[in-house]
Amino acid sequence: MFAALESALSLALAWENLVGVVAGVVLGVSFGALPGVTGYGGIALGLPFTFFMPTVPAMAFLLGIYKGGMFGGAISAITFGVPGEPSSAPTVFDGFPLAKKGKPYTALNTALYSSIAGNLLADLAVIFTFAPMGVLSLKFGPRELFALMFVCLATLVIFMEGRIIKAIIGTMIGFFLATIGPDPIMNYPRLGFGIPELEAGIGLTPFVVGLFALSEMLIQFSESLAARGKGWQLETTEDLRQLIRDPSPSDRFSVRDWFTTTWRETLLGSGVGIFLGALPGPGGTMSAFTAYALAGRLSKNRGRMGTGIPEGVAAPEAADSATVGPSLIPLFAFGIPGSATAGLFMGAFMLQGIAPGPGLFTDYMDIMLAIFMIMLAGTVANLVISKVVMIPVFARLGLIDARILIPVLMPLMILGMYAIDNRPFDVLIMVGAGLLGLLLQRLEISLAPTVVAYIIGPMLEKHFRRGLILSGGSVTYWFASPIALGLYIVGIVASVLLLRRKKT
Amino acid sequence: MRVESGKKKGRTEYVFYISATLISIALIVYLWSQPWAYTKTGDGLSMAAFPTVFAAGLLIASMTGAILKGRQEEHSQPSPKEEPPLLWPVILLGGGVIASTLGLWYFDAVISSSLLVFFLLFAGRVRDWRLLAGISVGTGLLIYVLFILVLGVYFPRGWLR
Repeated sequence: MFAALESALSLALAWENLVGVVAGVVLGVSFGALPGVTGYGGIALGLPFTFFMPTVPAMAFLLGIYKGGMFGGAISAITFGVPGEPSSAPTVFDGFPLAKKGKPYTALNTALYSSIAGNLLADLAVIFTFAPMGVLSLKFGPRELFALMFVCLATLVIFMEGRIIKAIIGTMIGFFLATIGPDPIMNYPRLGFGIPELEAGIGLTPFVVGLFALSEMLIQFSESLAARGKGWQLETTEDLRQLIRDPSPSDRFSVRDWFTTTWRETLLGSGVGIFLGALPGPGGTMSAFTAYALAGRLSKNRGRMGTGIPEGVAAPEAADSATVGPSLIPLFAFGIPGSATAGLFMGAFMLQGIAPGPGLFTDYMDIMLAIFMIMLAGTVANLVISKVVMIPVFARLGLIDARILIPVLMPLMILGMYAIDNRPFDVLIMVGAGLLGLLLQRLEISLAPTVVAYIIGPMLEKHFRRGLILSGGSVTYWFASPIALGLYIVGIVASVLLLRRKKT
Repeated sequence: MRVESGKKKGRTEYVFYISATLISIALIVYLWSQPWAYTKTGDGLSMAAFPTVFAAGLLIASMTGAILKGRQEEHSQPSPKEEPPLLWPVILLGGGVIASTLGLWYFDAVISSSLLVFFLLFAGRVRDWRLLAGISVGTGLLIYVLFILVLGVYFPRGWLR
């Protein structure tokens, strides 16, 4: 064991591995920070290059992209109000208003520190509880996953805010839109409405980016047009200053400020992310929304959530980043990729001639230990690169006048959506989702239930119908598992307590 | 800045609830006019079961909303709330996005993007020609480097290429 540790340490500290992880982080943060280009796309882009690399540098490179991309998504969400990744959507709720208040550094630093903390806690959890977490994730069959979806659904009560009817309408719209596309059991296209492209379903990224980003851009653009009645020319340096404002001198946020303000939300988010990340299905987006929703009820500042406070940034960012390590557990332990990103990692292992699964820790012990060490190194690299380079650049970019910023962001978003699957239809989906988002915002219907329902919907249906097939229609099947029963109780108790807490 | 009164907003909400009710009825009718809605799968449900439940949920919620809103309207007080008009920005941005997407085929990804930037800047009343030209060309270059050189995305070959 000690020999393997020694060998792993020398492997992890090899210069090519450190270069790989740093290059990966730079690429991941940059891709995540650009609206329309996702960190997932970065991993997919980097995958073919790993074919020419040895195993550890290849994994270091991909892990760097994965970790960097998670924080990069928050940069775009905070600076432009455009979630760089679907999982960064809840960061927009407080991060963007905080930046608009003239505090982009506060928002970005909160996101960075919480992301790093979530990442670090998750890495440690993976390293020390790898085996039991792997076993736990395998105990989740259709009924347990259905019960888990029930718990996630129960957190939606948090978004009701005295507007129950509106929240239900938002939820039902999300659920219905999620049913468009192939049936989860038969894989037969349904609800295409005669449009062949629609039969493939509505992609999550164009939907979320349209719903949050395009609708926000429409609002900002209209405000900007309404605010300045006449055309203007760039004639003096004062005009240029108006265009690119300086950050406020009061916008300082130290690690101490972050810790004293947001430690609860960061811990809460990390816990949610580690748990949901290890399970197949929920992923970063669901974790971030659940953490934001829980923080909305449990935070000391819960009454001000959504107005631009660091606590509202910390919870989803910690949760999102905390899913990175745990999402790879089912892959490492059993060779089962629990998410699309884990699937790409599986491909990377296969390219190296390694079959992920139980044999990983017997046949490649030193490599796996080195990968664990590189996960920690990637977190440190993410902190340094983001703090020194990315935050100062993007905090200033976000202060550019909306009339300049939005026209530049629009083509990036359009081509980014097109580039996901080379499908022009995704751009139209983004436009449609943007108009829907605008309508819902104008009617004061929260966008969160729509997105959460959209993500949960297919999983809810799939696990329920799989459960029906397995149980042969028996009702007792759904309550025979202690895990499922426990989750139902947690869901009911949590929703009642959360509702009562709101009333008090 | 145009002012949208609380009364007008209430009417908008009422129209939304009624529209959502009608749309959900249409969805249920559409669902049950599909041949696959009557075929049960191995789980004993048809492929239309879940969509029907969600459409029915939308129907009930929007009907309830319309009824409650109708009652509320009788006693409501107008509360002014300032909101900028959205029609033109929606037409400008939405139309620009669709035209630019179509432009991928007829022109070229880089050129259609530069044109979109130019159009939106001009629509945003930016009248400095150096700024208009610089930002449009600069964005085109960024797109060329990022999407074509770095990401290697294949865009349709417009007639300009």
